[in-house]
Amino acid sequence: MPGSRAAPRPLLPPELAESRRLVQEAMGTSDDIHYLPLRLRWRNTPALVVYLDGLTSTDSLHGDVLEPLRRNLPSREPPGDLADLAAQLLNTGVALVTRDPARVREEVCRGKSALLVDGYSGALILDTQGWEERPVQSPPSETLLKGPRDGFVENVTTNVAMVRRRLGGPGLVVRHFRVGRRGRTRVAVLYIQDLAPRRLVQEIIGRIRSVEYDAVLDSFQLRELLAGPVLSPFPRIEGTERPDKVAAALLSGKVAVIMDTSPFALVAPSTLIDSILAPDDYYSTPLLTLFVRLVRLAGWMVMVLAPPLYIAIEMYNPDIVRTELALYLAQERSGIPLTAAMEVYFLEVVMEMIYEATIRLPAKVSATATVVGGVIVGQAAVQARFISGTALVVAAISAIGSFTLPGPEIGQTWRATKWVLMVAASFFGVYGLFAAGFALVVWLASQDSFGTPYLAPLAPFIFQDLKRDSLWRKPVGEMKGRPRTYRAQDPDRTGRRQNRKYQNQGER
Amino acid sequence: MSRRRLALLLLGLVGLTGCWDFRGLDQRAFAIMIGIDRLPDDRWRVSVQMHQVGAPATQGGAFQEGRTPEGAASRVMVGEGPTLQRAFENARADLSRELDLSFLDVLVIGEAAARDLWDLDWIVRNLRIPVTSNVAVARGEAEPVVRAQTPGFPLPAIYATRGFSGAWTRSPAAVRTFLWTLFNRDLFSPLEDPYVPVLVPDEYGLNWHGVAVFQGPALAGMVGEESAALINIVRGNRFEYTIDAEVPGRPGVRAAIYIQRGRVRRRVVWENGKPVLTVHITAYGDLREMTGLELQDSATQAEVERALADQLARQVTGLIQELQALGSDPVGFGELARRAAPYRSEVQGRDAWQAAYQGARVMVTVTVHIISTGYLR
Repeated sequence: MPGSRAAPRPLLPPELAESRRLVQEAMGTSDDIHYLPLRLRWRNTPALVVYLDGLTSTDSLHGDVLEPLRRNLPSREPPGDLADLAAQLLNTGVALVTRDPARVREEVCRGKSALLVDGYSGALILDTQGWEERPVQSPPSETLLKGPRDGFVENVTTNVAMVRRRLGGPGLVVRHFRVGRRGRTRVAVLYIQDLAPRRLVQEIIGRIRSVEYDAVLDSFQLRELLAGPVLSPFPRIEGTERPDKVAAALLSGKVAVIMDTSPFALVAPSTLIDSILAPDDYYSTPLLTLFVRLVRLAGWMVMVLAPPLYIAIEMYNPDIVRTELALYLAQERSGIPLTAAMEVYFLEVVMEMIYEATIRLPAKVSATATVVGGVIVGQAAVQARFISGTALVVAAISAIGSFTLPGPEIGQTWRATKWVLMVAASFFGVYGLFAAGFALVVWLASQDSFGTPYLAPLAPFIFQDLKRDSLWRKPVGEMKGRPRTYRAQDPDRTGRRQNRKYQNQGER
Repeated sequence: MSRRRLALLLLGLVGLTGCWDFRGLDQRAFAIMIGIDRLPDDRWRVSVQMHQVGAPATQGGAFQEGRTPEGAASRVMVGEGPTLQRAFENARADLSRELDLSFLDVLVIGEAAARDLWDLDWIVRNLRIPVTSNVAVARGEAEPVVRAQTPGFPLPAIYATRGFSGAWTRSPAAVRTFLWTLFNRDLFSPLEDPYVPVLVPDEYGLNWHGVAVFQGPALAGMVGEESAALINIVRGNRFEYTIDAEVPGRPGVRAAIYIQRGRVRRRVVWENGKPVLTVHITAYGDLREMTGLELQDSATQAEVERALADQLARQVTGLIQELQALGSDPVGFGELARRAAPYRSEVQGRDAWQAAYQGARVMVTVTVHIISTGYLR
């Protein structure tokens, strides 16, 4: 009714029976909620402990809460309030004291336990969380030869700690939020106070606050909610399992978002070039990094261009290759029932099926699937003259090229994008390939990630960034400036400029 | 019709391109070498060499094991007719696949046909023939050249193509001349004449044998291997070459020098209203061979150097005079003359220059320096 106020929510009274009723009402009906009645030795006072099975550590509950409660109070004076009671008796930390049954529900659902004592209004929320967790392991999706082996786990606190260990100095800010109307999942936003652009921080926090969804189950779901309804296959917020990568991103002036229950941190803004740089590029010598990046670039070009170019040459433009190769291709093609385009489509679909199979199947079986799919079926198809050997080679090197990209996601993105080029090449040959490629570049140039152009520092052309860290990476000692692409507040990594500023302020 | 439907319809129509004239790679027959002959009865003959597709790919590559049971990886089809077009059509009459000229690597023009290139001018206007095809002239008829095999290599046309790039032959006659250079007169200057290699079917199969020099669009004549090498030297700025000469006044003494660094300067100077074709050559080389004499002092060295220089000067002078007699200026003296005196009447067109060129005096000066010796006794 317009103008009318909502009725105030009832608060937990001093009477235990009434408090229990209100808490039960807030918690709802669920068999994994435990209500443990007990009597305190002190005055034989009735009390109630509420906790959730599986989320609460029974060791902590018994050792730090129940056992001390059965002891006498050290002082003869009765505790003034619940906090005082906890301070005198309990071994565990007290998160808070609340009188709101909804807040009790929320905290208990996060693994804490609530203690209600007759004669005291409100509930004591105790830190007794404890559940089975995956230990910190090497990140399976971003394995490296050199560099740290720790990867994020599904606990936001652990993950934040892993980043903080790397950035022990001043400036790192961690802000906690909750997303999801029903999930209420914890999300931590990390940034460095004097580096990250304020507008970027405000934008990301604003978008997290404005998430209206019942539950966000993984950080990639959160990424979709943050990035908005876009159909682009190119990730504009990067997902990573590596804390060192997140720390490096924060030092560039980016903002990271870590979500509970997900081992992937989100980093924004993210550009196309970011997705092809690997963390171990910075743990190797610059010359070796150049070599590896050149190999990666070649792999990317082979992956994206080899199949459409093969189609274009076979079907429309054989005259762009030297005579020997054209004659060889003609020889190879004779007697093949499929057109060149259909050959490549067929092989690419088979390759995608193998990718999917290897991801879904257990490791031991997936090796067999790869051998059967890649080698036996491919070889049999060539021997049966169903497809030409050249097409098989093209599809295979294209697949190998996609493995050279550091993240599985960007490899998948380019494999999907390759289809656009293949279809264009099937209809219009080399002209179609270049027209589609040009359109792709134009479209990518029009994209941005939180205001950062997606093709930066190539478009717009930022020479300083390209000189500092593109194909060639400067030695670490010489990379004194931060990337201009991300507009960090302090562009100097050495801190000399800031020191000078402070000195000048002191002199004044 | 809504705009979206119209766009989809047009996209669909565009997607149908090639449905009626599309030919896959295996449906095309690639002509790699074509020979054109003018027959005595004024008819044309076209010989087309193409790769013989048919050997199964599992037996190996296209060139070595991919030969047909008959043993030839190439196939030559010949057609005759009153016009070139008819001859072409007759040549491909038995062909089930489409004749594709986009890989035409070598165009061999018979000697009779090369007498007047204007009749072949349509070839460069045919967009299906690459303008970067190599051109050669056959000594005699072109058909035997197109049919000639190359031992150790199944496809003669490929062998010839690689030869033009200098990869598989050291013949100085293997000069790369593109189709557009010969027909479009796309030379450095309109006063310059083209020269193209001469191909012959000799006992070893396809081979190079000198170059054919042109006077405008007509074949002027052919010169041998030595002259071909000298044309290359005189046309260029730097060269490597071997000279051998008898040392005057010392019977039986013969020296050979390998010139490692040769430098050429050409000029045309005007003397009493007539052009003088001037070539100055400076050469530094390694004395590779000398019989009957020890190189003991600087006087002997100077004597040998002078003998070698005189020999080279004689050869170059002889070459230029031979070209003057043929009426062909592949060295490009005409352009040098025009630059030296752009307003003279002798350089105002090809005919005027031809008249002045043929009567010009030749002056060649050569300096040879022996910078090292490695001669055999």
